[in-house]
Amino acid sequence: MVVAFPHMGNGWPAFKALCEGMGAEVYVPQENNIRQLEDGLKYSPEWICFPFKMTIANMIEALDKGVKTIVMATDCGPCRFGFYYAVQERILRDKGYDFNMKYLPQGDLLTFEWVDFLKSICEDKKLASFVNIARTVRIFLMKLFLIKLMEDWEGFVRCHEKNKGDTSRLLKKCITLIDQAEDVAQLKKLKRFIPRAFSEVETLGTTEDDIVVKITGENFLAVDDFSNHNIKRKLGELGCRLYMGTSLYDWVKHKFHLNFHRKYLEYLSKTHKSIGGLQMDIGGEAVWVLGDYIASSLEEKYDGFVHIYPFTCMPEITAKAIITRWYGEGIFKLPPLFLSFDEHSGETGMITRLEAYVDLLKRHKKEKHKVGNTTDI
Amino acid sequence: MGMGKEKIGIPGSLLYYKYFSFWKRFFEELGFEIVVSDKTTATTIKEGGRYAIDEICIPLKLYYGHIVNVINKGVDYIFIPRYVSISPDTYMCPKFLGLPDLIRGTVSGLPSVIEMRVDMRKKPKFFSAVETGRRLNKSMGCIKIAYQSAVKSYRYFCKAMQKGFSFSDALEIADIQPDIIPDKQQPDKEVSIAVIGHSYNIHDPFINMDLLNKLEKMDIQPVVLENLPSDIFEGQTVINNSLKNYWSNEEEILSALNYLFKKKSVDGIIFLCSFCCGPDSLIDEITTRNSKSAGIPYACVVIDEHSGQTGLITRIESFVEMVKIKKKQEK
Repeated sequence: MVVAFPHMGNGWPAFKALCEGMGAEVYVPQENNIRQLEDGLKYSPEWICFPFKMTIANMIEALDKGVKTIVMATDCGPCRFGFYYAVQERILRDKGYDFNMKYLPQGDLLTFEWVDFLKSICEDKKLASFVNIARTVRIFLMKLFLIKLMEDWEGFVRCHEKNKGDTSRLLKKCITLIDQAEDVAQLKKLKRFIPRAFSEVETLGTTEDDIVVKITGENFLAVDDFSNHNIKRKLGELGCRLYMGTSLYDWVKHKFHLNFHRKYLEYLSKTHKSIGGLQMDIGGEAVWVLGDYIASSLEEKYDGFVHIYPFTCMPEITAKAIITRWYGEGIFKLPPLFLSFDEHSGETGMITRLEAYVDLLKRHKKEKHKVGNTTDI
Repeated sequence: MGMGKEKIGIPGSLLYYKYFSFWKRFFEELGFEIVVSDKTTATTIKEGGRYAIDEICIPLKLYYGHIVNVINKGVDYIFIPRYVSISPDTYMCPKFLGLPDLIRGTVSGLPSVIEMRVDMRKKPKFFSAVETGRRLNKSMGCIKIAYQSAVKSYRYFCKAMQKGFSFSDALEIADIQPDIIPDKQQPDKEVSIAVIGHSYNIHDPFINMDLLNKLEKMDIQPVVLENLPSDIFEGQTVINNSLKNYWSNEEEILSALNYLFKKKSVDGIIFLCSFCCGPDSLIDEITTRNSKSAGIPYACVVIDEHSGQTGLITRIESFVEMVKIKKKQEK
């Protein structure tokens, strides 16, 4: 059985390992690109959120290549994501494709519905054993972890790289290595290799005056470089050290109820009295974004906060609205930048906004230093 | 404040169009005075715009306006419910889940907020009522009586709506609670068109530019969701044989549309939705496709705060014209 799944950032090696571990052959769609997206737009509802358009574009590409089984993740509400696969299936069938839609239920991974999914793509009975499933999931999780590790290092290193593009090249190399690693031993080796390789990138300058920015937002947009117009690269090249507030690994951990950092963020956004807070998970990443903003404000090291989300995403807008209202009052001195993404491809507008934002952060930082010095005297 | 009753302000938007009869009777029985914001006008949008954020749907923008309006009337409390779900397997749209948080987080100078959390995934509605009542320091007995009375009032409202009364008439009937709800005199019109959508879009004549009356003037019998038999709303709609729909409001819309597609009791369907509405963007995609296979004329009309009247009228007129011609040909 050949299966294909839509892209989500650099996560494809992990999903590939998951399907291959169950004996399925995997077709990885081309890297997200504008031509693909245009195909997706033709068949998407008018004002659906961006991830729908991108994922259906990937599916169309795979189906055109002759793949007969599409894998799509699904959630249990309340946001739109849970509806994706059913509507996409309907659209693609009406378009005339004959294919199987397998969905990976990940609303709550502790219900273990995903085991049924794994068994359903497994044609070899031997591979459906408990031992093999456990092994496959372990490799899947390790790969996700390595991807997160690599992306974290990317954020730290790029702002200092001597030769422009070194980091991006190393990133590409790491992805290939993660994809090629087949067993736990190789992955453990990579875990040591990645930090070493990134710290060996030739750098300039010191880390003291770095502008430190937290990037967070809706998961898909935050991790998918094509969809967010390479915001990480752009901010890095403008000299910002980046911390990622979300990643695929975080997400999966959260769905296994093991992400205690997110629990802490939830606690923050529920209990912070002055803000009123968000009392419950309203879909998207709203609770965690708000919690992250509070947490980052409490920490000294951050200079900026970038919130990325798809246009018309109601949960994220709720978080945005509350942050906008409270910025400047009390402890909330961290300038937020909100970027909502849709299929528009105007790059210059975004670069200008980012440049202006980074300039603002630099000025803030200078003023902070001045204030710091005077109190010293 | 003197000796008068304490006042609770209720913004007349969003779920007001569904549950107001319930809320009103409940709080009145608990000994409060209800103050409702004025009907939606252009100023409502303007006033709400001061606080409202970009990218939200028009009903929510209006909600801000209604909040400002009702606060200006001088109230002691403001009622902002948090409807998480109204059946065990569904969710409301995310904006209802975070509504009190959003309003508290963005509007300054709010009176104290009464937040009724209705989450029927976890507990029956009665418990939500008890929680709310207890927070207002009312006795259990008092709350129980108020709840029962409110449920009764809500039933009257639903029945009246089903018989075809307009929203304000139905509220009146729910107030009076007559022994027999009279049948509404319906002029016999040949062509009927269903206007389906969220109650806050359908029953607010400002937001939809008086669509229902406009249809009546064009000699069309408009049918709304509430007119349909109540038993069709039971059970969960399944999409593509695999996805159980999990949105409560959309559940009604989907059931209604599926019923109409099957029964073909109307000659055309207008699906009224607001721009930026998350759930409707997907529901529309599915129903458009279903309507094609059912062979019923279907139009999706999207509204936002500055749709030009003329554009809308032209669209409706041409749709109505098409439906009429189709009907004639079928004869």
